[in-house]
Amino acid sequence: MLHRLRARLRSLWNWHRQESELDQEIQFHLSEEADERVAAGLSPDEARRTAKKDFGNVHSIRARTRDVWIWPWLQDVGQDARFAARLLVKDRWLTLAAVTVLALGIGANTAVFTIVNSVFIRGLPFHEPDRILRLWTQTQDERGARRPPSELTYEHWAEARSLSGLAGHVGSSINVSDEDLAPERVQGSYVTANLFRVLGQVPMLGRDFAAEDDQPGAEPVAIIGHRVWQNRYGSDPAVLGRTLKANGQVVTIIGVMPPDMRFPDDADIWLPRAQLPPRTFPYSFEAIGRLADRVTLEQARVELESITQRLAQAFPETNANLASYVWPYYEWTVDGEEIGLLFLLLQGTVPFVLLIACANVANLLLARSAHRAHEIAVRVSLGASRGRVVRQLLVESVLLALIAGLAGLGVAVAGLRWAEAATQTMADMPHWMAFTMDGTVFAFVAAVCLATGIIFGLAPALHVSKTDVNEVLKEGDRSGTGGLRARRWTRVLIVSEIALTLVLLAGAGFMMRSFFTLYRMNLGVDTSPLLTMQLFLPVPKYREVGLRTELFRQFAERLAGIHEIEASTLTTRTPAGGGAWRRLMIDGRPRPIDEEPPLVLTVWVGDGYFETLGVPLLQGRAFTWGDGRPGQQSAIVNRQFVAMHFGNEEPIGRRIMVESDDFPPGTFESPWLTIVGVSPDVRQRQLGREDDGEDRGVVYVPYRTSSPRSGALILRTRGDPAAVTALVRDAMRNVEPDLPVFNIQTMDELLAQQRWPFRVFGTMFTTFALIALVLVAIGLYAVTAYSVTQRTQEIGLRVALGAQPGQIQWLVLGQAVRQLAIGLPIGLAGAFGVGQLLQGAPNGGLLLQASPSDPLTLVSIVAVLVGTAVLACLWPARCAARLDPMVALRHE
Amino acid sequence: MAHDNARIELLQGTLDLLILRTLVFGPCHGHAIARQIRRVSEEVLQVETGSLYPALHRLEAQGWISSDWRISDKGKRAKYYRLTRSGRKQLVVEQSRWDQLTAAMARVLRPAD
Repeated sequence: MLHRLRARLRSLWNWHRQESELDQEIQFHLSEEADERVAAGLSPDEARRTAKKDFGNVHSIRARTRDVWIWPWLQDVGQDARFAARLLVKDRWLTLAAVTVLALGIGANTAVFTIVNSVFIRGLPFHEPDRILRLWTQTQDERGARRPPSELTYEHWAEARSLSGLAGHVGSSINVSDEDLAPERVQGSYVTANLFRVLGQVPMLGRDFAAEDDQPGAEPVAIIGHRVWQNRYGSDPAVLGRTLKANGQVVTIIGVMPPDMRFPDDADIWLPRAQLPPRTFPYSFEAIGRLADRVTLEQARVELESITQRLAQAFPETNANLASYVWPYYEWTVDGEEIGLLFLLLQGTVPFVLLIACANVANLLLARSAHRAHEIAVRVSLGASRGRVVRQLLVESVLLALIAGLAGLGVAVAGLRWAEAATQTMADMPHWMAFTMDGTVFAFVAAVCLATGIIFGLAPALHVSKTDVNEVLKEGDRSGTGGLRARRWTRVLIVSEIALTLVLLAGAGFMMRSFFTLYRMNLGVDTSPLLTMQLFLPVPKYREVGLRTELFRQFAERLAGIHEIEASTLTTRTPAGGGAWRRLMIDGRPRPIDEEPPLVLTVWVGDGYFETLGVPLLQGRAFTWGDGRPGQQSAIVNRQFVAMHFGNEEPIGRRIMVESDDFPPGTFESPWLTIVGVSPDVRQRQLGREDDGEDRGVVYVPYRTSSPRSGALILRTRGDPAAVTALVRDAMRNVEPDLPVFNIQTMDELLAQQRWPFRVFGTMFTTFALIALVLVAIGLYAVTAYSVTQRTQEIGLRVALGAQPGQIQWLVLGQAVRQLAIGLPIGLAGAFGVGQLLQGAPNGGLLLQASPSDPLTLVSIVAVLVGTAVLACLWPARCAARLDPMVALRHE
Repeated sequence: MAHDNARIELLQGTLDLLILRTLVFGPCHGHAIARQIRRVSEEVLQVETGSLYPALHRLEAQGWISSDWRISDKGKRAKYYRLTRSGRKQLVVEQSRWDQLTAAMARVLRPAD
């Protein structure tokens, strides 16, 4: 058995040699036979002739011998493929149309799969990545700011039993230079010695950091990344032990990391933490931990929280009001939003585009199959079985699909390039999320091509193989009895195309609607001249409220001196940046006993807030220097607040209290705030987060009340906001050199980031819907045109009998209308389902202020589809109406 | 020279047996094998060339005979076949099977004996 297999496989290689050997063998046999006959007395010519005659059919001998060598079907497939290739070249236009259509479908699917692959499937290049955690501390005050842990916290956390290891890292730009090569600037990371052990990654060459390397005064060492090793050292394995200068300090290379390792942010070099240059202001180390064996995330969270609380009590000056915040490293969230679902939605939608493309190509092939009926009939009559015919047709369609797959790769690459450009604006894009095509993607493309070829090829193949041989071979056959069955297949395909396209349009339509709603949301503020940035005042220097207030005052003075800045202000949250929810109580109104007191959004703002925003107050006055001090506790409320809580009463002078929701009522003695002004409505709730509840009004409290450590600075600039950035940084550095100021962007950029998911995904869905629409139009056009050709005689007859052009047009369009009538309801059901799905998405869903059965959206997508369909069929219909009956009747 | 009435249809399995048996006496090329079988059977068994070469290649694929190219005694290049060790074993098996078959056939056809 094994022998036969091996012999057959060997024959695949030695194909030609075996064939020629057999020929030689036969020649030898013939010559021997001829010699024998000559010896028996025949003349040489006679001998040769009779020898040949008696030998038998050389070809059939060859064929039977060949069957011994390899599987016959493999040979046949090769034959089929060659024939198919010739056919594809002959039917150039059909091939081109089919390849284009399929390439769009395959390309779109490949692009989306590449993204999904890099996001979900490929995962992190670490050992058991789902057990790696990120640890922060979170302040329990209004801002709820998350910061990396302090040294103290870190040391205590490191002793937690639920962590098998805790490591820290801080990123930095590093100048790398040595004697031989030009210096270059790379991204690097100063890490604790155990970082790679926590990540579960061993160096490819050399060794990992040891505890001794991370001691002050230890010999300076470094581990380099694969890219540096390749580019600077030419992948030289003798790189270990060489030295280079990192930021001026000489270090010895002790290890090289494998190519995938670029933790945490495209890092190319890692240095021990002990080598950090000293500075007055402490570095903030990101903490990474790994869950110990058999410990769950919940258990770890509980233990770390209890440690944190213990620290808060033992060290109140530094750690009061801190809680722990522990999340798996691999949570695919962006700004807290679950983007993962959107990617999955995309992956679920894009196969529809491919199915529509397949249906189109199947129709094209069905139309062409009528012309091939003759050839198929000949094959069948020569002895080809039905399976053989089907196999041949499938080989043709798979070959077509493979060509389209190659073209589709080009489409996918273009699409991915766009996706990468679009996601550049995403601040949190992790480094390991590279949209590259790896082996998995190529395997996917191959599988898709194969499946596609079979899907769209099966229907025509099955249909054609059933041709009645006699009918077809007879002369004068027109469309043949196959016409009826082909039409039924075609109708089914068109109806399904229509339904699928409607579903895609629905997805696109809903997203576009949400998107427009987002954009139309009036903030109530002209955001164009506004620049924003985030601040964070470090403890311990700025522990006291008074110090912070003084710092802010100095800032304001400095900034006022800059000509390009018209006004500046502080705030805990920018407009559309959310706020702190507080329980509201109004002086003079009874405290609700059984029901929940109303909630209101609270923002702490500086004196010039409304002036900076360019929003004049409706009533009363803005905050001044005195507001916010004990004895002069004030508040400004917005118009919505007044409408909700005061109606027609005068709000100025009334007193309100806002209590933190985290604590039971009455625990904190919040001061009574006197309302001193009423502002217009400036949107404070975040865009796109509808689960923040309805607009319940906003209360503005002077910043000085608590001078929170973290907040945002808003600047009103003259001219281009971005140009002012450098000036602002300088001013800040003069006041406090070590102060981190980050996220400097214009207000418009900030808002654009919030809208990002809708913009990107909306574009993707719309692109797919448009592709589907184009495909359906092409499909309908082709089918209608073909049916007109088929029915030319009939049309000619009708015209000759007196039919009007309008009636002819209606006749042709009627078919399309019938298909629409069936396809639309199915599609609408699907559209409704899509709407439900979008609405059910987390974070308030992706359907902003619209319902799944929103009539405007549904009506418009139906109108778009019907309009496209009618337009596609119009041209063939008009051609049909203008047929010359004399010509038509003679058409075959 | 076709002897129609004397021609006996050879089953595929029997042709294999004949070829293996013929090769016991040493390597032969295809034509010589056919000639040998014809001669030894006294012209009763005429091997169809249409079956001979497929059979030879099948036996080779199964590993019971092997082939190489040599110069024939007439000076031309020919493909010679010879028995392999497993071929020899197979020959014994086939031969005993054949004997069993003929004995059984004889019992059925002449029950009286």
